[in-house]
Amino acid sequence: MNQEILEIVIGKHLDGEITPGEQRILDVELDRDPRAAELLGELRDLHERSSELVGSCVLGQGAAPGDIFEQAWQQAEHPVRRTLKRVGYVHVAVGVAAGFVMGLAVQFVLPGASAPQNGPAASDVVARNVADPMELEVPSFSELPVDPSGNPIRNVDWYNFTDKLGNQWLIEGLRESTVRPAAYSTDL
Amino acid sequence: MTVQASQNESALVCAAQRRDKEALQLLLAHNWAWLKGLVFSIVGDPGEVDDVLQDICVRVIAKIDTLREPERFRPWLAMLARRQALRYRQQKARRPVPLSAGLLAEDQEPAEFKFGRKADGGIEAIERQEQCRRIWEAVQSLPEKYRQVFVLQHAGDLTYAQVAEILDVPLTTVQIRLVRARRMICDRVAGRDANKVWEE
Repeated sequence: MNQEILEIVIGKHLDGEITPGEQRILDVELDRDPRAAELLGELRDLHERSSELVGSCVLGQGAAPGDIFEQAWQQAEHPVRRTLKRVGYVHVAVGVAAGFVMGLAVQFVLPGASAPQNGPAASDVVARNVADPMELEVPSFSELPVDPSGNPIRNVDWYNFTDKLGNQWLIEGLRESTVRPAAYSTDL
Repeated sequence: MTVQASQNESALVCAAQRRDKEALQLLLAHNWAWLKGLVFSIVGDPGEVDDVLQDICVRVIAKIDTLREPERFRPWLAMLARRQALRYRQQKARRPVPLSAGLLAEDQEPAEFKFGRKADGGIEAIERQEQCRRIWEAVQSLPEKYRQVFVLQHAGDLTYAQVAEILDVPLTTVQIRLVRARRMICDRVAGRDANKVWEE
């Protein structure tokens, strides 16, 4: 029997895994070879010491299983705390701060950038029925601010519009996104 | 594990999947010794084992309902534990280690050694302590795959078949790794060719 096979059989003997047939072979070998008996003694000693060491240095250390389980149960019941523990409080704080800054940016920067441009393509232009006197609003020039020469300053845009019959219209568009028929006071 | 024990464990798994806290606790308690041994064999420091075990428990509590075959609880738990322990080890490797911690670690020794030395100071006891220290150093210096088999065999009171199931390797591999681990420890303790690493 070579050394490694002998050590396997002795190991199985020490671990209680040996079969009756293997035990007979081992007994014969132990009777026949004194070095086998010496090896058995050496490995038995190692086996006993190792079990003691693993028992005292690994299994005998640390908290009781029940305590660890209880803490884990509490942790699992509070996923927010678990997430904080996993991700780290600093990372979470940085994430919240970044979110806050993004929110501010959306609040103050994006409305300006996405405001409708004053032009004919404005989507919320509403056509009004000019024949309806209720909808015909004549602006009161007296309420408008005036320039140094006394002319009213009106904050409006002008659009050209050609209808199906080929008539051309000049439309005054106020910047409140509403359309009113142009009112001409003199020689426009 | 007997058929009866296996059935009991499967029943506990089913109960645990229904959020039965006691069943889950019992289930983990049954497997605690080898679980602790497995984590130690990967993490390498007994003082850090509890942290990893707690993380493993949290994962088990969260994931037990995803286990489709209750009779495969043990390999499932082993896989989960290995992943968690490896993740912990990787995170630990990334953390900076203060110089003082390294100096302290050199001076550290298992509590059992210190206790034994104080308890009796006879020459025989000192020799025994010294031998234990050498064996322990040899166990810790084993390549991981040998250390896993060796520690599991001595921690969990498991059969070779159970160790093979936990480590997901053939039974003969367990036998061979055990023999080689013992040989490496003996050689190191005796000061014979301690750096030799066996290859399968």
